[in-house]
Amino acid sequence: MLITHELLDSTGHADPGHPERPARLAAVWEGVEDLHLGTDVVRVPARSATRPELARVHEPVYLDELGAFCFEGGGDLDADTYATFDSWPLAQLAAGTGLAVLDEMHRRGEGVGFIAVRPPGHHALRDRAMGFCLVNNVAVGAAALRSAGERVVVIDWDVHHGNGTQAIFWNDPDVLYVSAHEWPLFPGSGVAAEIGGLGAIDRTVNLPLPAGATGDVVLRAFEEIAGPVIADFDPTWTLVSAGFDGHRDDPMADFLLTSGDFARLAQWVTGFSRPGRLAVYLEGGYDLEALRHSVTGTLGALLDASPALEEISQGGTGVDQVARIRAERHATVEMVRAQAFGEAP
Amino acid sequence: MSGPTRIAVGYDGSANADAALEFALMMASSCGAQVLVLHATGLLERYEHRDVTALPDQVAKIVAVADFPPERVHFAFDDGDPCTTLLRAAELDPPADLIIVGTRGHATHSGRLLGSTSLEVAEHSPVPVVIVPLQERAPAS
Ligand SMILES: [Zn+2]
Repeated sequence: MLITHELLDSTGHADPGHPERPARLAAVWEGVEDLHLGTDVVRVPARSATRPELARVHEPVYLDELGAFCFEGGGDLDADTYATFDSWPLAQLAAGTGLAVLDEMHRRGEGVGFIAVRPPGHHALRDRAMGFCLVNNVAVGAAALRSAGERVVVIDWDVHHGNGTQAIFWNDPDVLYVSAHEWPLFPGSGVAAEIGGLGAIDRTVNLPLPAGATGDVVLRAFEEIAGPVIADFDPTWTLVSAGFDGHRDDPMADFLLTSGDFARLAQWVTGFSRPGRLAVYLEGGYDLEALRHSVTGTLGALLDASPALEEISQGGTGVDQVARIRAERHATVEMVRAQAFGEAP
Repeated sequence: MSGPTRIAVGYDGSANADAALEFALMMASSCGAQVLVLHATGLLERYEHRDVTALPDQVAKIVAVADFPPERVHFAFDDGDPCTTLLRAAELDPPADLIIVGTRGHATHSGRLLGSTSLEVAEHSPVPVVIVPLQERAPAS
């Protein structure tokens, strides 16, 4: 069963010519319809996040500033990120609707969550908008679960590093952040040696892979490097920051993934997720056809449907990087532990 | 206390970035510092295939006009937003010990903290920050 939400405003938060555009959501829902789920879809009402819910991950002064900025008509927040008059209410609605889906999942104890909202969130920092993102939706969700005593793993397969999510939970031992991303690439963070703060050593896993990486490389990095860390963490909830800009047709980066690859990544996620405790948040994805089919692939794998998908991609660059990333992570974890606690490396 | 030894300056090719670079070169001249000129490569620059290949030459010209030793200037493209890349410069090894930025780059903002690279850098930077306004230039006669 797919647990999702009513359709959100498909015209708001728009800047002509900008790739983070309303049409993305229409493509996403077409991807859901391609699964022909029939009555196997639950749509909860959308709602706005409250200030305390947002303030778990954002500075109140930032929230005030963002609200005022939008109320005055908005504008460019940086070279990439815009806000319009309606961006603030829509950003609150995006984050709150994610919480509504998580609540419904908690109530039912079954199903797969899908939160298809925009603007995306994973670049948004505690006190700053960045990279098309205003409010960090997945972080708002993870923080809510964490405050209810859950241990949350965030799997981020957007092609860009989710610097905002990483920074928000950098010192939090109850949230494990795992990201595979193209590197070097915006936002420039996410090297293997970023392994979490002193309060959460080894609770951040970065898998920086080169342009030209194919699905087999990304999956191998997740399985071989993140897999053991996740098993050790034993999460009670899984949230996926599902960006689809790693698709080979996406104009934003140079991974070579296909809709079939996203299905395989989703399958891997189900392997360690508890039933009824896995929700997928939309992040990037800017080629509308690729976005549509990648959503179909991801949700199809999670719901045991078998839609027609593109072939998986194999043999790209980066296989030789996996062992190096693992070694670099391991050495950093040992060194930081030794420095912090005086343990022998 | 000695003066700065490595000055990082944000550069996006705008008139205000030119002013910031000129100010950085003037300061570096007086204290013998190196100058790290950083251009932040954001999401849209890549998406729109903006041609930024001329930026290093644009910088070199300003360096030449300032009669500053070019070997003490290093230009770099860095992935990220301008604020993040400048803050990262203060964590390099060796770190930048002074950051110089124009009041506004290509992005517009309302004068509040939000949307202002210069004010956000100033708020978060562990090292001193100089914010250079766009000088009124005398009309050519
Ligand atoms: Zn992305």
